[in-house]
Amino acid sequence: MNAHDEMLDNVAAYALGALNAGEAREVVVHMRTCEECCAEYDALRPVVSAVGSAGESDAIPSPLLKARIMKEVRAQGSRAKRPSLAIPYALAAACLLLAAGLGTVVVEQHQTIAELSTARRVAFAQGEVLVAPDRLYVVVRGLPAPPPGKVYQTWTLARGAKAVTPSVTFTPDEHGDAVVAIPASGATTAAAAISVEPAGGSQQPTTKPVAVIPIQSS
Amino acid sequence: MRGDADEARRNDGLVVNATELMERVRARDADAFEALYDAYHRLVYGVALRVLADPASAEDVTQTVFLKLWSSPGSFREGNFPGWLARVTRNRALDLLRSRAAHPQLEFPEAMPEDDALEDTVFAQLDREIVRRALGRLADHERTLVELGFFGGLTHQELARRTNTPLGTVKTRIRTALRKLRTALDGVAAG
Repeated sequence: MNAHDEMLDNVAAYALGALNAGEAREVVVHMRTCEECCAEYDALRPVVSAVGSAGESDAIPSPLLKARIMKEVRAQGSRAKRPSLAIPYALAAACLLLAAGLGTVVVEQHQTIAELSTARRVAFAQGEVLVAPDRLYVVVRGLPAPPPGKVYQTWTLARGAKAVTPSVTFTPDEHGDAVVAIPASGATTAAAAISVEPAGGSQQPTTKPVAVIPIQSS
Repeated sequence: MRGDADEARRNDGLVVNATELMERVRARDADAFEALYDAYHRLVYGVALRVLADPASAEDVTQTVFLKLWSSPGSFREGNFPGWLARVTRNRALDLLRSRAAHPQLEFPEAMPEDDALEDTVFAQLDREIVRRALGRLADHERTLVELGFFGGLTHQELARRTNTPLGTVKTRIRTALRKLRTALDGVAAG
């Protein structure tokens, strides 16, 4: 097998989503100048999409899930002419209402705005962080769209740790707004940060953070 | 058997057209969004569950994917809607795994491109049972690599470890398997 055959194998692995970030970048760069590999990718990508489309299982989610999602969808549709935020969790949506000072609203997931009203808020230049007992909610406003192929990624630094831990990636909506729920405890997190990273995220920051937010202990 | 173009059968037996529904979702039609949910929630939940192996986390990802679909309906315009949805779901499930990784040095695969490729339309009309039958006709070691690679969210290094197969052989087998699937699905799509 020659080197280019190996690259064609790498293209197949890339199409399947089985390469790490560095290997994937190599393939993408190579395909910019290799018609044969581009053609191979174009042939195999639809196959992978077809495989994915057959991924339905017999398991079904709770009917309550649909209720939560539709409640959020209909609420967004009725409360704002402005397109709604991309919200990962219903609870995060509730946080946003809280941030907007819209009063007490009962939400799903066993928490209420009243409970969240005790959450500490940590402001930073592009928004604020709401520190809940088991999650940090990063609310950003007016962030510029990330460059093509890039996303924003959140990071947390545990108290006493010397290195940050990779967390959720996100892309803000057309207004630059987003609410991101980070599964980290405010009691054990020293800081959160946001950086621009390749789509899919990184294991370590590869760019200077756009925001570093110290999470002071209460 | 081929399914009608871009259509899915809901649990209540109704057939829905995803492209048409997405146009209505872009116009902020919540009823159209609900129809999409009914038609595709089992796909999204199924993919998330296979990646995460945890029902509660799979529900979190399902919620994330559908709310993103509502907030950014312009992210899909054309192509294979369920295939695109499966890619997005896999990426979000891997995001969750990455955020929870006890060891940040653990390696995860790069996210799959989430653009809606026109090329994907070629198999958008195929019923999922046809795809499953084509997968079933692969050699066991080929099918395992394809399914673990997509639904297991594994890198080829991890696939090599799990299947006790040399790294180069894994990638060659992945390509062979995807090529065989392409030929099989081309035959059905042309028929």
